[in-house]
Amino acid sequence: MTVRELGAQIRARKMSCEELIQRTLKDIRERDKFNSLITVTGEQALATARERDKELAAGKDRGPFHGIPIGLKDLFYTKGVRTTGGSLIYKDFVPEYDAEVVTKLYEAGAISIGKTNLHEIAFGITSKNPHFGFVKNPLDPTRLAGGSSGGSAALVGGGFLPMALGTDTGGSIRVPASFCGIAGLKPTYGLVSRHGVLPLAFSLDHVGPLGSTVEDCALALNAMTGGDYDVAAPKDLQGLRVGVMAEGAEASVERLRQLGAEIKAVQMPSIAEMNATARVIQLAETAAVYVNHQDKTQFGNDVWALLQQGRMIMGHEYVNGQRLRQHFRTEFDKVWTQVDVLVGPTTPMTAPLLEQDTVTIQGKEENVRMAATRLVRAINMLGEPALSIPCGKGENGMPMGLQLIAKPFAETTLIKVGKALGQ
Amino acid sequence: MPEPEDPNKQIVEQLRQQFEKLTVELKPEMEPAVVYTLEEE
Repeated sequence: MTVRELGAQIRARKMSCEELIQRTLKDIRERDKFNSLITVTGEQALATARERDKELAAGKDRGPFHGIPIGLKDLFYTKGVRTTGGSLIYKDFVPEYDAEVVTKLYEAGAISIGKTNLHEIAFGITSKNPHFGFVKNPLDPTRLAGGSSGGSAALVGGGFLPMALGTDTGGSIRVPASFCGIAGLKPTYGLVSRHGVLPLAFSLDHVGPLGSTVEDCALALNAMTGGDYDVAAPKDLQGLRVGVMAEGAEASVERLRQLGAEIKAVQMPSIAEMNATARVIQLAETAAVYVNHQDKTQFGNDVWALLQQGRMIMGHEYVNGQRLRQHFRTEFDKVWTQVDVLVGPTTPMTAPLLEQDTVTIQGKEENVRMAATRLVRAINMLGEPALSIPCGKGENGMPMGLQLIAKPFAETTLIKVGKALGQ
Repeated sequence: MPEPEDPNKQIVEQLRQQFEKLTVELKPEMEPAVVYTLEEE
């Protein structure tokens, strides 16, 4: 159910906030076999729900999220509740304050049921966490949920929650949203506060929602920013100029054309070149964050390897990465004179099997991480808002994601298009 | 026997080769992206 559907039941007195939280916790106990959560905060959630019920009875309604259960990726500081980052380093870390976005969601009435599992320190897209368990895809537990916001995606994709919070440094909201058949929004860099969020790469980290629908994402963005992003679905897309960023989403492009959008050829910088630049920046920034953590036994092999790679990036290479970033940023502004939205698949493949380290795409064998981030990583470097929505199924029956990208701070355009496409 | 090459080093060298081709295009006056903005006290 969506945020609004659950809210309607609460306001119609069909169930109380407390009953909704009880039901959600029971559902998680009975059905969640996906390692979605690291810490469940059931008692705290129930106590808060009783407060929200009292408020409603007294005529105080905090808005769409009043009494709605949500999950928080275990990177967000939560006062008095441990925040592990999916890592041994932070396994006993109990923050003294809430992240800014957590405070805002609480003020909007949302109730956290716990901290969701993730790829260790958010540095990867498989969520095969060696310390807290592999997150499994709720649609097929033999497959990856994706990452790094894997637990958040599994809880929404499995129908446990309408919305869970994630972060995205190189695709970590959009990739799991794509693999789990849900919506995921990476807002414009800087639009949503990162205060009280364990960093991975300062200049690439974004906070955003994973939702059962585009509307759920829009409502979460409203709550986190105080903005008004939940725009109505337009009756058509006349006047919208759409560029195709990558092949593989032809049915969606055709649907956009049917809705009145103009499909245009677009000149844009090389995705491969932008990805290389983004990798240099990310490797260096993450190595900087973990410079004082030199004990290999504290990390999984894949994360340790990436940290080692980051330590090899030289100072001038990082600076030149940031210079190239400015160049690409300027070049990308020209894209927005040609089109309003870019579209393409979020990932070039559906969710791989848990044991898969490589995938074969168009006859070429590739590392799963590199393949999954190929169409999303560059957007973190640019800072543009990007939305992943479900767009059909692959040959194996698993969902595919459509990525929509717009110019900075044009989240409402993405939400309109996402809703027009029926999501 | 020579020691096998560090796979991480290989990955970084591969990335470096790709990246260095891009930096050829950089002109001296091109400045880094401004990531942080100063806030008024």
